[in-house]
Amino acid sequence: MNSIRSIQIFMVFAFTVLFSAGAMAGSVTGTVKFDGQAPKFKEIDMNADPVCLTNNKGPVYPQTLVLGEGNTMGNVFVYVKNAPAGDYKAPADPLVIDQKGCNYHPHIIGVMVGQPVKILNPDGTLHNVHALSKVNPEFNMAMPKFRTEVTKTFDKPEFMFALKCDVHPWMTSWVSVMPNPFFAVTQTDGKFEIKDLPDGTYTIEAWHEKLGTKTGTVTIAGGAVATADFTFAAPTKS
Amino acid sequence: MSSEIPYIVEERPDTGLNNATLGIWLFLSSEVMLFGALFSSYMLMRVGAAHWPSGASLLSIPIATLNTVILISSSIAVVFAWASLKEGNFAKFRACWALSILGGLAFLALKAVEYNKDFAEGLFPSSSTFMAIYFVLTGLHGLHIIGGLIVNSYLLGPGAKMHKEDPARYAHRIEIAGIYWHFVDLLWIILLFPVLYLL
Amino acid sequence: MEHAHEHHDLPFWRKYIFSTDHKVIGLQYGITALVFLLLGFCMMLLMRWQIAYPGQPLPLIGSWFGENNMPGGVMLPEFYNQLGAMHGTIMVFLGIVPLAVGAFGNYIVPLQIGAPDMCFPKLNMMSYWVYFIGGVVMLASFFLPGGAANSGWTSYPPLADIATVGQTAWLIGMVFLITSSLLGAVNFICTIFQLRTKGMGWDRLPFFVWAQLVTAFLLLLAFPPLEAAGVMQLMDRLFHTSFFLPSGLVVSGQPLTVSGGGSVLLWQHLFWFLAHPEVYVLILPAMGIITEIIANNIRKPIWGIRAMTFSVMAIGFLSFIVWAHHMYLTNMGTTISAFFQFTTMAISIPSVIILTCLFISLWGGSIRFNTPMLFALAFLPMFGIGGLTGLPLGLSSPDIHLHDTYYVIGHFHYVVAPGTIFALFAGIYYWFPKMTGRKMNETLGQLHFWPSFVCMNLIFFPMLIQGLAGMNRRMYDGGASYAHNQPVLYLNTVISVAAFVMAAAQVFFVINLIWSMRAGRKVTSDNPWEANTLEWAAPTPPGHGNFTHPPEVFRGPYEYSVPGAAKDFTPQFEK
Repeated sequence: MNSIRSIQIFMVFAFTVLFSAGAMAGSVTGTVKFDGQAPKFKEIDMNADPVCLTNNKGPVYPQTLVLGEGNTMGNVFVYVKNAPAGDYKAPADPLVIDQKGCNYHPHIIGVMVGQPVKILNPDGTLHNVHALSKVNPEFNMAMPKFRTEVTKTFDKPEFMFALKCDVHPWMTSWVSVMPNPFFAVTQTDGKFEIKDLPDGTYTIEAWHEKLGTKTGTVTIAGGAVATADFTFAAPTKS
Repeated sequence: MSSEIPYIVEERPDTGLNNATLGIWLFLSSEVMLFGALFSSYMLMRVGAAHWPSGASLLSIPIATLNTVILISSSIAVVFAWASLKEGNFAKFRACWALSILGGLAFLALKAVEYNKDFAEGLFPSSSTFMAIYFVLTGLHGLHIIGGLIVNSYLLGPGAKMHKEDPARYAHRIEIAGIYWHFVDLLWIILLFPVLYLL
Repeated sequence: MEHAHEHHDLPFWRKYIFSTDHKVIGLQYGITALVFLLLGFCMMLLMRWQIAYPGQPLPLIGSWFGENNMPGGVMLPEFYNQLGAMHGTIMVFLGIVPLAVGAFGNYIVPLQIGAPDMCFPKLNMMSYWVYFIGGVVMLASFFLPGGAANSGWTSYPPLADIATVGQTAWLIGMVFLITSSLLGAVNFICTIFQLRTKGMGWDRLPFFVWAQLVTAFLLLLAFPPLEAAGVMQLMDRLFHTSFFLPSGLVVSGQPLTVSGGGSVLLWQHLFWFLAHPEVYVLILPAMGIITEIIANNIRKPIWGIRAMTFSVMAIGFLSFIVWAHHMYLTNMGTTISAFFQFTTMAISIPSVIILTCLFISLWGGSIRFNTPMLFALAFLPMFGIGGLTGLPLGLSSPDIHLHDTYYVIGHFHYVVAPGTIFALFAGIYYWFPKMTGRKMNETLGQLHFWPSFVCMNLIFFPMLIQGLAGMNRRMYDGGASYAHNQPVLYLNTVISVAAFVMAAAQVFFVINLIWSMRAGRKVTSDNPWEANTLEWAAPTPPGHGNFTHPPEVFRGPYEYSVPGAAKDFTPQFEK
């Protein structure tokens, strides 16, 4: 009788602890917006490679500034600047970069150290993948039409380097190799969510390839959801 | 084995040469092509450059002048050494030969001082094409000095045994080493010093 | 004699590995060079697969080359570029020159001038081992991250300056090879000047020796500028100098953080200052070999031997002032372009004189069609085609269209492949009896010769056509992605199949070489070809010191069918 009671008490206690522990993992969400008049982008001229033209149905514009309804900003990289150190395991699932239609999808890429990156070439034309990394070894691989898939891994953390194609000059993407999973890339709706952060005060940074960075501070207590919104302004004409 | 091969010391009548003398002059002609190519590169770079620094502004003329004097003295020591050997004065030969080696070492030491001075001032081969060609020309010349010093030291030390066994052949070796040393000196005196430092 | 005693007491490693005997060194060069030629040949076969069947997995052996080079047996462009650069480098610097000069030169020249050895035997040994190390460095570079050098055998900056680490290994390897050549050249010139035996005046020197003498001068004087350039490119790569990097260079959208102020043309000038005389280094020993073999097998004197001798000296001199014909498309001024066009046309004259004299020599000859003679005879028209196709390349106007196309590849391969390599084969068949005391098998020799001769033309003639159509060099997909190549793309398959058949024909040679060393028919005399030159006076094979007594020379080397003589040949060394 006593032992059953003890077990029950123990189980309630355990659940409470577990629940609290789970509850102690907070998250940061927010929206990134663009303030101002979006510049008119010129259509990318893909005449040099007729295969690129056939693989795209309509005009293609640079992915530098991608806006949604209400001027929400896509292609912004949001991350926790002073995340706690720890042994974070990279996901086994590869992050896929697709070069379909002679453009990189996604355009802004966050991967973890050791996470496989699978690069696809369904276009039937020559692409080359040139990683302009300084910390990780730089590589420059040809992907002729018969080489439809290549997987690479980055072994060292490195913030934002360009990945570009030397055959098609408009093709550039940005890659960040992160030591932890506390990062996200906004889609056109401007929304981001960074999960499983323990309690604490953090600096959140939003990075855009042309408009620079914006920072904000959040405090997570008792596993709550903190909010951080960012607004990038159009560059002022000097 | 090599005793079968004629004209090591005595001259062949129809060419008037012995083997090593011909050999060293041939080798030196290829060295002329090597440094000539570098000198031509210097000319091409200088002519094509919008701005070319004067040697005096970046390098130390006093140190280089001292080095020039040292090398000239070292060559003179070689001549005295060779003459002493021909006269049969082996002790005087050794002294003069050793002196020439010391001269070479002093040259290298001063060059090291110069290089360190350049590095301390932030002047590296990567700083400009002038510094690049300066380091390559003087560096390659320095390697040739080191090569000469190794051979000359061997001849002073373990190689001197041959003076007892085959004095004519030993004297010939000294002569050949001397020719090489004079070349390396002349290279500095006529080419490197004026072109890099004075012009 | 005491030194002979010394020699017999030498341990194995001093007699055969670190030997100072010119014959052992010659054989070392020969075996090493043949291995490199085979490797370079295999690299070409791999490339030809990719060119004819781009993107298709290589059957059976495709998996041997690893995931980095040929994933799934399909060649990656990066690997193709490595093969291209290294095929050229290995064939020229590790194959042909060591075989033509290091092997044949070392073995035959002292014998033909009646010398006991080279002037500087220890230097000779060093030359070989420095070559060997250079070769190891070059081969090892394939296993570096990023693979071997991949910027062409010409290593043009700025690409070569920023290329993968294999390029650094290439430069280091070249320094070793150049050093080896320089030391060898000194040895050859000294030997030929100083160690000619009694009676061997300059007018009695075999043409082979003249050719080797001029070749040695070319090596001596032309290689140092490339050594200088190699040092400068190493500085660019390792110490971030800008010898060859112009200001404002942007790589992959990012400006290079170097001082700039360099010149890419500087590399081209320095490189071609060597590389042009280098091609004469490739052909002159071959002409020498051919002349000896033709003289021997027509049983009459060579027609115009004095003109040939002066011509080979003229070629040597002129070869130093034609180099910029490789650079017509670098925005060269018209005056300087005219100068180089003139000298380039001029140098064809002594070449034609040599070829013509050899052709005329055949007239009225009592020709013996043995295997060495077949290769030697084939050399003549093949070198003719090679030379003639050089003319539109040597003139700047047609060169605008032909530069960097397959026409160039066809031209120079005609000269080097059915040209020089045939001459080298001829030399191996010819001098094999002197080196081993046995003859190589004639039937296998014919089986080697005929398919090789046919295939060489099937390989390189279509390249001339492809080049005229505008097909560029160095394209890993065989030019398939260009519209103007489409009409001549089918020739890729013709060429590749011919290359594979030619590969099969070489098997007869390899079998012949190895089998004959053990079981070839023994020769019954020291002079089985009934030749006139001095090497046939030496014992078979020559021992240490070469001749049993110092030979004396009484006449020139081409006294065949002398009127009134008992035999149809009158050797130089007979009283």
